[in-house]
Amino acid sequence: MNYKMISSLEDIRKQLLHMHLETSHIASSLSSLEIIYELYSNVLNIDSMDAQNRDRFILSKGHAVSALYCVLKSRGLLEYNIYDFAKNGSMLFSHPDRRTSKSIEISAGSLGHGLAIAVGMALAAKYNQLSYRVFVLMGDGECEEGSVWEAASIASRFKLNNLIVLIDSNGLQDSDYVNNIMPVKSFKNKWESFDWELAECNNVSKELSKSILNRMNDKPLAIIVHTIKGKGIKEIEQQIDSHRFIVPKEKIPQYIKDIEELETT
Amino acid sequence: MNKAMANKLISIAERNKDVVIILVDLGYKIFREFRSRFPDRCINIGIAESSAIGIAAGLSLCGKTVFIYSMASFITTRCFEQIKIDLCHQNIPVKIIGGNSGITIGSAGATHQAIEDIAIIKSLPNICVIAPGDPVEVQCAIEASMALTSACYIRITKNGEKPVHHANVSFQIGLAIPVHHGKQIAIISTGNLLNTAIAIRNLALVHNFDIGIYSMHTVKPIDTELIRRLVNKYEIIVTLEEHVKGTGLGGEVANVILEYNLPLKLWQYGLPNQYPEIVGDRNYLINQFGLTPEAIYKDILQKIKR
Repeated sequence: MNYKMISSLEDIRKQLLHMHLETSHIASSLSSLEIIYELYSNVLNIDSMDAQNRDRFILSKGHAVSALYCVLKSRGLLEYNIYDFAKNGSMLFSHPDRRTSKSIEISAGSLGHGLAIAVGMALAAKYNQLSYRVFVLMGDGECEEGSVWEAASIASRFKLNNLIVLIDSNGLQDSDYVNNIMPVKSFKNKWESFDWELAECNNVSKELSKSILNRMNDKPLAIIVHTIKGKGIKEIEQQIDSHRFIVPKEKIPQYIKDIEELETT
Repeated sequence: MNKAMANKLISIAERNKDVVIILVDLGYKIFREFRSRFPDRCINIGIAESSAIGIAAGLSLCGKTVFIYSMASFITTRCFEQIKIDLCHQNIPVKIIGGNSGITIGSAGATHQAIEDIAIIKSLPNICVIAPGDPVEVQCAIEASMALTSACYIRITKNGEKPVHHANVSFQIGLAIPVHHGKQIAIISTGNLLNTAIAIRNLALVHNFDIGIYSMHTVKPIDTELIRRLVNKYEIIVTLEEHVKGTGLGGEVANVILEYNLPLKLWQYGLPNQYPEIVGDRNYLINQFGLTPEAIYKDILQKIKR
């Protein structure tokens, strides 16, 4: 698939600055942005949100929703003004709400819900003999939720090879580095021990769609995507306290410069 | 009630190929015939209640009609957040059937008793709470749930409840069924205590008391109109529920009485807000908590004399 996007990644990073003058989680959105952008430009088969056989995208780490709004807007799939994000009286909640738009597949925000819903959607594809795939974006911190592993077991038990999990693995969660909070000996082995096919991705635009195409195709697939929290705003990149960061208006020119200097990945 | 439920689901699955049942490793025997008739449409996802709700939401969003069965205690409290967000917030018409509700399996202790389930589920928007009073109401509730556009929680028991209604009784979610019209006192009962209500009526008839009986199978939305109409016939309303007193049916009826300033006395009978301190099967605990027909009738008589 190759869908035309109105905005570039750089445009969207700048849009996000203006959307997060009063609302936090820009660092998470900047971490997830490239993945969501790549999916909607080159991976997901979505011609219409009414198409029964459209690919589904589930944003399980709902706090990164501003990135999703921008990408959907860029694809012509969102009817609202992105700058109404989190404003009183608007429909653009700071966590995804299914009532906002047909293009928001599920409500999310409490972590660890998305994968089970995606399992249901993937099972339904098998029942209905449809070929759509279900993509779930989760955080590495989110994987501390027990419900993730319930759903992961069920997905492999039912051989849901139409289910693809992308883990936005920036190594940080709300209060600290993931490895300081809940270290996992080998995150990769953990998924493999749940009988998932595993891939890793260091460069989203070059590697992600290949990983999806090159899969073995008989198991659910998890892709650990190594990302940078707050990517584009130098002073918050990979910082512990970036999770609650709100953009100070006077710093926008400096951040725009950062964003323009960012090497294209 | 279990048999009535399983048979009804078979007949629904026969005519609707989109019906799927999710089990969380309980109820395997109950659904044996269903599984043999529709092996792909009854899936056991293992001991994972939270995932059951999420998976049901995903299946439903993609066109399936999903029933989840488990023990009432586990499939309400364990996965409350999934019910809140995945079902109610997204307004998805998944049907949850909770078996062994109330103190059905009393001797198993607090973990297996569902005595607060009506209270917590009815606090959520976009979900109906239905506690059928007999096997006929179970089948009617499941049939009626097929037309719902939101979620529902159907709370059942398995104490050999005798059928109270004819199979063709008029049933609508949200409308109570008048079983007997009476004078002065009306019992509104929900769930399996319908048989208890009838036994109380029979005890009273000996003393020429004619107690009215209403089966309030739907606790949410409560049948407000019925409660308002009772003013014309009765002075006293008695509520019966195998659930913590004040937080389920009785609480809902009290709200209606207060909201409309109705000149009705309300006497609630239910379970105390406490965990069991001793082992007891259902009969033992019903005795202990004063919920036998004899104990309730005696209490009603004493209250009348006061």
